[in-house]
Amino acid sequence: MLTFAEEILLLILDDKSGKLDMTSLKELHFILAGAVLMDLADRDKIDNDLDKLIVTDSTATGVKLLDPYLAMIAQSEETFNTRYWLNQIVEYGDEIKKEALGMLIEKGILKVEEKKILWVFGVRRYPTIDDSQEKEVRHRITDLLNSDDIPTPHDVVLVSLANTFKLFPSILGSDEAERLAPRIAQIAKLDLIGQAVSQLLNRLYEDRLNFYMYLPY
Amino acid sequence: MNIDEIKKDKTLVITPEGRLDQVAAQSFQQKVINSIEKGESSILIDFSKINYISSAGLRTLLIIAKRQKDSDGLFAICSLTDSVNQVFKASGFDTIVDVYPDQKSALDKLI
Repeated sequence: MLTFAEEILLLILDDKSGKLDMTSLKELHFILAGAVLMDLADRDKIDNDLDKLIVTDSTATGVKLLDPYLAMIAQSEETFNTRYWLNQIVEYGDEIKKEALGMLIEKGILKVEEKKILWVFGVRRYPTIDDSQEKEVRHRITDLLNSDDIPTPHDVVLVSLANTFKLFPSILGSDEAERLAPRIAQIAKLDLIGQAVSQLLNRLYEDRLNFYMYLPY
Repeated sequence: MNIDEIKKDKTLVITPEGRLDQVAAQSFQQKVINSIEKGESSILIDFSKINYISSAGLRTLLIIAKRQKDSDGLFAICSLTDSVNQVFKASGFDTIVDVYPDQKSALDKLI
């Protein structure tokens, strides 16, 4: 079974070029931090409400992508809310991304390619070898959005992450994404961690907008 | 967690008491799923004695509601306390499952 961080990376990666959209690195790190917390919640390691996030079981999951962050929260002497922990974990966004990509390579889903840009700058790409997992996720989410079925908690998380990262136009096409926007919003809202990720990203966009508005000419 | 069950006509009314968090969620889920597996076609969860719900509690309700809908059964929730109602509104949970202000109005719809 893939972690949420792996699943969301599969949806973000361009299958053929294996390229990640590097213009949105900060957003990606927030999404991955959210994915880590959602995975810990899904494994009954943490629980949260509108005001706080607590550890309910501090024993390691055995997943290298998750355990450092479970330990980080467990070691805290104070209780904080979900947004606080997202802001802490987002600092490790690059490590989470590397770890998740490594896990996908180990599982034979991606391969790694080293390329040079302008014959000098090395870049790493991750083309897909086995796209069955990604196709299965896309089909499942598309079916869910086109029905009035009650989603599983797992699918709620995926819809929430994909919506926050604005992936639905590329998954469904722009027209379909627009048509299904109310249903997407309804499902995405169900996850309280997803809501916190979304709120932090909105603040990030606002800060960015303010920065550009006040740039000197 | 203390959980009362009473059959009212064709509907099984389940009244959990206390906090619906990760500690209580699994036993609550198991108890309701057992009822669904026994063929209860109409289930009402009365939340009048639940004063707290966390993410784990919401996930549990989602699993139960989905399981009952997949079995073509009826499912509803009633009598939310203020604190639980706040979480339902914030998460939009009340748009996914049928929520009624009290047992009577829920039973009128379910039966």
